[in-house]
Formats: sequence, structure tokens, C-alpha cells
Amino acid sequence: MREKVIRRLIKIVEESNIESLEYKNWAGSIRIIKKLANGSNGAGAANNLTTYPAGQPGAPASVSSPFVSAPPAEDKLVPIKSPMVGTFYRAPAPDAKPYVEVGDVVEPGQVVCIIEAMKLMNEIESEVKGKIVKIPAESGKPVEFGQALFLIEPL
Amino acid sequence: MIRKDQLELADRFLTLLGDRIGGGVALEQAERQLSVSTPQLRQLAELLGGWGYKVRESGGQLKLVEVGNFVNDFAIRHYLSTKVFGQKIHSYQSIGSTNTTAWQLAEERAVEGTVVVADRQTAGRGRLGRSWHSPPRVGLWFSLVLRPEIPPSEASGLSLLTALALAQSIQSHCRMEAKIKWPNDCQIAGKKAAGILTELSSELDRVNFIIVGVGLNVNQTKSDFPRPLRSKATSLAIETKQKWQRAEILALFLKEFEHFYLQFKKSGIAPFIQEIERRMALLGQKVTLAAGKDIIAGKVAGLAPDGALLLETKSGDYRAISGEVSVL
Repeated sequence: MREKVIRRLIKIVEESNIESLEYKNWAGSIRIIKKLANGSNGAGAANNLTTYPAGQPGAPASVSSPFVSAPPAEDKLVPIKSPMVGTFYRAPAPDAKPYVEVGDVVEPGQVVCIIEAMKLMNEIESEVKGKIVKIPAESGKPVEFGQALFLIEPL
Repeated sequence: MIRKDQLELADRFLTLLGDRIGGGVALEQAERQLSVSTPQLRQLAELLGGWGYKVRESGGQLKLVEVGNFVNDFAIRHYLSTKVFGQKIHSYQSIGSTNTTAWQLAEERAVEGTVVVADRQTAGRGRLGRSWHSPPRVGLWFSLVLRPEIPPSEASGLSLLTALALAQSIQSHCRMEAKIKWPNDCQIAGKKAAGILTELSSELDRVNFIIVGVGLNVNQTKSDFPRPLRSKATSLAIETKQKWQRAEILALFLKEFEHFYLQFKKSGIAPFIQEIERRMALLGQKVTLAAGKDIIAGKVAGLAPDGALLLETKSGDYRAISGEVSVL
């Protein structure tokens, strides 16, 4: 799910009287819960907001940031974007290991995933050398044109 | 190395021989028409022999007694009438996967229309790493290098276009109705006769090259298929009860596909959608679509102008850009 969407959802919860919001789109689902301090939903609620994927009761009760593990210096990250609409696959076959994982260092020209549309397989390569910091797209799910599939910290 | 003029002579010689077992020509006539001496003609016969065409001489008559079912450069060229596709052919007796080799050749700047064909694949690939059963000498296993100047988002149309060209050429050559199971399987009598795997190398905004890989079951008998495949797979020979020249089918397909491809480069897949729909298996039927992690049930309503599959589902219309369709 895109960060922009999550930010907007948090704002909606923050500015309203509702205590929790569950939101679902093609990219996944998220639940945002507002913890009410002494029954009041006063300003500065941002630190009392917890977000975690819906349907995961074991998720942490609170985190210091409203965003799930916001990577450092996000503005310096380089996205690998999808060149087409299709289904995103992180591995060459259903039972194979993913091409890359968070934390891996990739070289320019290294294949990081496959986008499939109508049995046309597009092997996506990294254009830069860098460390995979985040994989915002979910394997086996549709992606849009231009959508960020990976965020890379250039090295 | 065989000289080009010799290739041309051998090709004309084969045409004189009538191109089929039992066909023949008088020795004298062949010499006159090809402007060659008797020893030269014997040399040409020897050349043809190397490509699987056995010529026998008796009493001043030449007879074609054996036609090898090869898909080598010579045999394909003999039937080929294209301008671009197949002008460069790499043929192998045995190869891992024609797509893999074509990909390597494309990275080494192979020209548009380059064909890689093999009598046998030892590591034939299907979608998502599935293996493709490709025994020797009975099927047609080949890949084509394309370099269209289109954005990557339009490239998926080529997947459908290949299926259409394949279905059309099978139908017109073998007189047998061929259907397309979305997006690009070719079916005869409800069974899979051909599979297509298209692979794309692209930047964000442009296509570097596309490899179109085709596996067509031509002369397999039922027992050539592994038991679990027998209820799902078929071949041209099984359906028509006769053997086919694989090189000829390849040449006819290349001709058909080249014709479509030139129009596709100008106006995309939209002008072909109606024809593809007309040939579509499962139109109007209830199916499930497994697309990645999602499974959608619905009725096949048709195709969108970009080739996406349209399903009528309980919760409204669904547009599928990828996935595997199965009958409910």
C-alpha cells in the first residue's frame, strides 16, 4: 500500500471521532487504531496511533512512529518502478526463492522480479547498485504502471 | 561451408522433384533447368541427402524417395516467403531452451525476425518456471526475436497476437478448427496443441527486445505424451490423423505472424480483438481465474480493447490482465 494512502488514512482517523479504521484495497489491508488517553481524543494524537496490517492480532500494541518501520532518509531512496500493468512476482517460480530480499545488495542489471501480463513475462532489472530497503509491492498481486516495486538505498 | 548459390540450386532442385515422396524429374530436364552438369547434379542430390531428402536415380529418372522431417535452415527456407521473419535462422538438433538461446542472441544484437529452432529441447520452459515436454523430431520448438518500437505496456498484446497467428495458420493449413484459450494457448478439440511464452526485456519507457517462444505439438502420437498429459494435450497428427512437415508449418506461421505484426506495430492489438474473440475458447462459459494470489469466479464476457479478459462476476465486471483460466 502506498505511503500516501496510509498518511491520508491516519489523518482521517486523527481528525475524526472514530477510534479505529480498517481499509482494504488491491494492495492489501491496514487497520489504524487510535488509543484514547483518558478518554479524550485530544490533539497530538499522532504518537498514539498504531497501524498494522489487518488480521494480525499479534501486531505490536504501539510503535513510536505512526508508520511501520519508516526507513531512514526516505528521500534518498531510489524506486524501481513497474514499466507496465501486470502481476508482480518476486520469484521465477511459485516454489522458488525470491530474486531478492530486503537487505540484499543488488548490482545494475540484476533481475529483481517479474511482471506478467497476458503471459508476457518482463524480467525487471535494477538500474543502480544499492541495498533493498523496502518492497512495497506484494508478490502475486497486481501492480500499476509506474508503481514503486522496490526502494533502494544507492551504494 | 556450403555456398549460397549451391543452396539456391538445391532448393530449386527440390522444387523440381515435386517436393514430396514419389515426386520426380527426368535427369536431363533437371540438368537443363538448373544449368548444371550430371556430376554437379549428383552433388546437389548429396546435399539434399544431408538435409533428409533422399534422391534415387534410375534409368534417367530422379525420384524423391524420402523426405526427412527436419526443421533446419534449408528446409525452412524452402517454404519461407517472408520479408523479415526467419531471414536469419539458427537451427539446432538439441538445445536447452530456444527462448534462452534467443535471449542471449538478442543481447548480442540479433536482428528482428531472427528465429531459433530446435529438433529437441532438453530444458523447455513454460510460464513461471514450468517445464514444457518437448521430445525430439515431433514438435516444433522455436523462438522469434522482435524489436518493436513500442512502450512496454503495449507489448503484452503480442502474446495474444502470436496465438491468433498460430491458430490461423494451423486452421488454414491443416483444415482443423483451432481456438485460443486466453491469453495464448492454442487448442484443438478442447485440448492444448501449443503453448506460447513471451519474454520482454525493457526499460521503463521502451522495449529492448521481445522473445516469442512457441511450442507446437505436430507429429506426436498419443503415446509420445506422458500419461498425465494425455487427457489435456494433443497434436496436429492426433487430430488430423496425418503427419505434417514441421518446417512448412513454421514457414507458414512466420508469414501469417509477420503480416499481423506489421499492422500491430502501427495500431496495436485493438484491431485484432474481434478476430481473437471469435476464436476464443470458453466464451460465455463459467470459469475461475487464478491470478497470482487471487481467485475469481465468473462468466467469460469477452475481451477489452487492450486484450484484457472481461469476466462477469457476482460483484460486477472484472478485468483480468493476467491469470490462468479453468472451466468451472
